[in-house]
Amino acid sequence: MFDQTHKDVLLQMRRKLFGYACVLCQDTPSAEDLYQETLLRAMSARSAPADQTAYGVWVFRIMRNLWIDGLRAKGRLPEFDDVTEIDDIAEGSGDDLVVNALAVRQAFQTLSKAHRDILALVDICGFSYAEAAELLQVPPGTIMSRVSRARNALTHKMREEVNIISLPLRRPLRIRGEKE
Amino acid sequence: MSRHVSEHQLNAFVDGELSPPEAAQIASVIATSPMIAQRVARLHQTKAAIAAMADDLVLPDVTQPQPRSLWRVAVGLAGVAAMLMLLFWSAPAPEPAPVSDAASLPLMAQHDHWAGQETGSASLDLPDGFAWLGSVMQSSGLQLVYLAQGAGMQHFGFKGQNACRISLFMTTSTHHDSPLQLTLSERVQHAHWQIDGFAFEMIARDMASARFAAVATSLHRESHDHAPDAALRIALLQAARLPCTA
Repeated sequence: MFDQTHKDVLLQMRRKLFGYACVLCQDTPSAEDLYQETLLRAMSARSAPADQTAYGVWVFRIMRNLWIDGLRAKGRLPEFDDVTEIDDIAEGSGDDLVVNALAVRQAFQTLSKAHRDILALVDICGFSYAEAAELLQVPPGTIMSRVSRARNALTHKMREEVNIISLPLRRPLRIRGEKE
Repeated sequence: MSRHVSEHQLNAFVDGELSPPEAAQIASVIATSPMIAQRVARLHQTKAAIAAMADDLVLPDVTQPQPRSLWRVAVGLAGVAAMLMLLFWSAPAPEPAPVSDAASLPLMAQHDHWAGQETGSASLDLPDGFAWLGSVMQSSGLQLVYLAQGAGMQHFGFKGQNACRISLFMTTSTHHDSPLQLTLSERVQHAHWQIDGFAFEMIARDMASARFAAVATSLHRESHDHAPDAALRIALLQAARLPCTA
């Protein structure tokens, strides 16, 4: 049952949680829906892990499952077997690339869902490989290879520098109390 | 790439996932290979850039939900209202005795706090201004057994013959009117609506969805006729008369 400890954990990780929602959905309104629905599910659950780390993994898994359920309902469930979509990236490509934050962000948005998913869990949400493996219910070794392939894919995108789209993550600040 | 270091290992090194001996091995390779060192530096920069993406996010303003899709209308708004009340409710702890100690808890916690108490089944009288609740609840087989107030909020606890418990929270609100929003899961039932300056939240656990929806719909309809009632306004204003803490 939702208690003060769970509330504190949720408050601490809400930015990462919303960041993960943005990565999964790629548009802010859908991300907000997913974020809020996740919080509602987490807070209304009859039981939840007592351990804080386990609770964090549990909440992120709720979000991911909700996202998958939404895609499935729309008939747009992505293929998460990354063999088909995360390969053919030449190792070592992009070693001479100058990394800047904007280029990374733009390239990140053009990655496949599977690539964004794993990089968001490890880099944005800060999960260890073991925690990510538990969340995705795959072996830790799979996480290692997925991360590597996803970063290679990101490097590949940055080298392409074509069809880069802007981030959808920002939105105008709404002044509290302002009527629309 | 070096014959001794795989791409997977470099990424794991950057992520701090290697064992100390493995990490030491990678570190020695980095120290002797400018190309590997450059690669590792780039991975670090990439990881940092991705991690920083969350820092620029504007978190949803859960105090003012804005519908943008049918799904949001169906689920989001009810969720937002619950989020606001459950997660961010932080009313100052009032000192006067009549105010419930649980008044500063999130709504779901307040419901659980009340429902978990071994309170008697003696029916309470509805306070002035809220008598209109009686007809709906009585016809639904529910009687008022708990009443608390705090921070401009009234908490009514209704109990049925088969241990069904429904919490109804009423607060004054400056938000626009919103239609009845029902969220009916197997374990938690939630209803929210706003009418003419009043916000209504109804919460139950493990209640038949059809019954909960019927009660919520009836209350929603009834509140349309009584929300402008001066007695109701006065009652809620009296509930809001809490001491300043500043």
